[in-house]
Amino acid sequence: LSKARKLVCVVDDDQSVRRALGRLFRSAGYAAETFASAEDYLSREIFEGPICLVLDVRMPGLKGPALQEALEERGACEQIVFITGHGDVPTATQAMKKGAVDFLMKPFDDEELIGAVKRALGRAEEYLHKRRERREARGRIDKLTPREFDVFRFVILGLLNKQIAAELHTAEKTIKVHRGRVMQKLRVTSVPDLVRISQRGGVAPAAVRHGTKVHYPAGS
Amino acid sequence: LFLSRVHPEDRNAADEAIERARAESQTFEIEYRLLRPDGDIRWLISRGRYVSDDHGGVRELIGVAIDITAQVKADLQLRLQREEMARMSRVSSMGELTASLAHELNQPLTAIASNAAAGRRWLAQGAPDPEMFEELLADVATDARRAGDIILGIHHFVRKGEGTRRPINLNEIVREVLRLLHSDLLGRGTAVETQCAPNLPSVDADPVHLQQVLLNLLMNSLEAMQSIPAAKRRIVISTTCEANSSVAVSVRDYGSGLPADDVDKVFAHFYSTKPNGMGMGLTIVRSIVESHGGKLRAENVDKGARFFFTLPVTRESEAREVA
Repeated sequence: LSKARKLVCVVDDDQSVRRALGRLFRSAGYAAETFASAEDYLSREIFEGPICLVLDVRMPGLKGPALQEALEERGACEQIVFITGHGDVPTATQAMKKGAVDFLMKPFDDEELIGAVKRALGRAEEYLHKRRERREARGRIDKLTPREFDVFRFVILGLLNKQIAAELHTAEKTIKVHRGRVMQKLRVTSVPDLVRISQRGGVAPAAVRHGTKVHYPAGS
Repeated sequence: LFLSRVHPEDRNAADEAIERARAESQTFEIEYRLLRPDGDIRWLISRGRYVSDDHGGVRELIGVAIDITAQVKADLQLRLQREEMARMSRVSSMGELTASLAHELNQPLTAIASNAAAGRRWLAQGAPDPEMFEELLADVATDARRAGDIILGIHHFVRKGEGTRRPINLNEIVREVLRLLHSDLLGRGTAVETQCAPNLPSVDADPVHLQQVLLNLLMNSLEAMQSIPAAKRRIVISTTCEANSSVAVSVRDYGSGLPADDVDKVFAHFYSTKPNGMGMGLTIVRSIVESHGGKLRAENVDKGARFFFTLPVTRESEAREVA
């Protein structure tokens, strides 16, 4: 059932190949859409779930590696499986270097193709998961006040409340309050979790004055 | 005495040239082969003239003979190279044809295979939607027809000259092809013997295509005899008329013969015994012969192989022969 939320998009200028592949993916339990050209696909609204693009290398219009670049710019997270009627080694190499999941020769074995699509969707899902985590972490971090954010950055550096107080020229008690709010807003209960969320959200630890002794927290 | 040393095939021409020069007191120039007692053949060119005495009689013959064997061989080499190039370009255009053919065929085959795989999965899941299955099978049928049309395309390619058929004499085709292959035969030291039936009825055919057929069969024979000593290389071409309704052409070689288990294998697509062979030559030959309403067969004979094809005689000549 989870498969139904994954999408396979077939882009091939040959109508009967396109239709047949659409049927094949639906029979394997995926939602499938077909497009006659890369341009047609690009004009589709961005699908938020994991997508596998099954692309014919030889197509009129935008094709192969050039399309890979256009997709990258668009910022969606499609993973690509190329199919081709030719043993075109240079194109295959280039496509794989650009991150294609597989490159299959027509006519291919259906198990092989579905296997490649499954791997591609797995990769897309992983990518989406990471992206979701990052967005979520950023969302929570954005709720911090500038002062709380400063404290956050010192905490993940591994400083004690007393040291942070010295760095920020304030009372240890105040830092303790800030630290409590940071934990609450970021919905964590331990320093290691705090470090993890900083990594997902791409927050770097603060820079310390010379001579401050740093205790690296566990989990970093 | 001089003439006895000249190669038998050049003897008449040499004799005539000298006789004409004597009769007309002219200069002469002849190119001929000299057969040496050890069997070696030298090419010579002789130029000369007869000097008359005061009474108009022949006084003496002044002339010079130059050995041009090296030149002739160089010319032959050049011609062989040129023909090899022409052959290669024919082969490569065949190669292009098969490559684009493979690509074209790939599309319907991919669609058919994917549709079949989808159908099987649905059946395995136990809930096939009849309407969807109807569509799927209709697509499979369409793609099978599409693949068939692509194959038919090759036949059209081969039969392109169908419109230019006319009554032709197969003996003439044999002569023309032997002329085309002359230097190949010479270069490979292969003797060709022809046994052409006189008064051969004509057949309705495209002469260029029949030349291709014979050319292919002869090239095959030449290649089959590559591994045997030059002295034993021999091809016999014969034409016969069968019961006034068809004409048969046979090409027999003394080469390595056909695969013993299945002689018809040589007609299969892409079957080849040659390292660089496409395996398309005999397939094309067969389809040309068949498109002319004839039959092509192959058989092993004593010390070699024999290919022969029959073509129906033209209606008019049939009528004429009967009347």
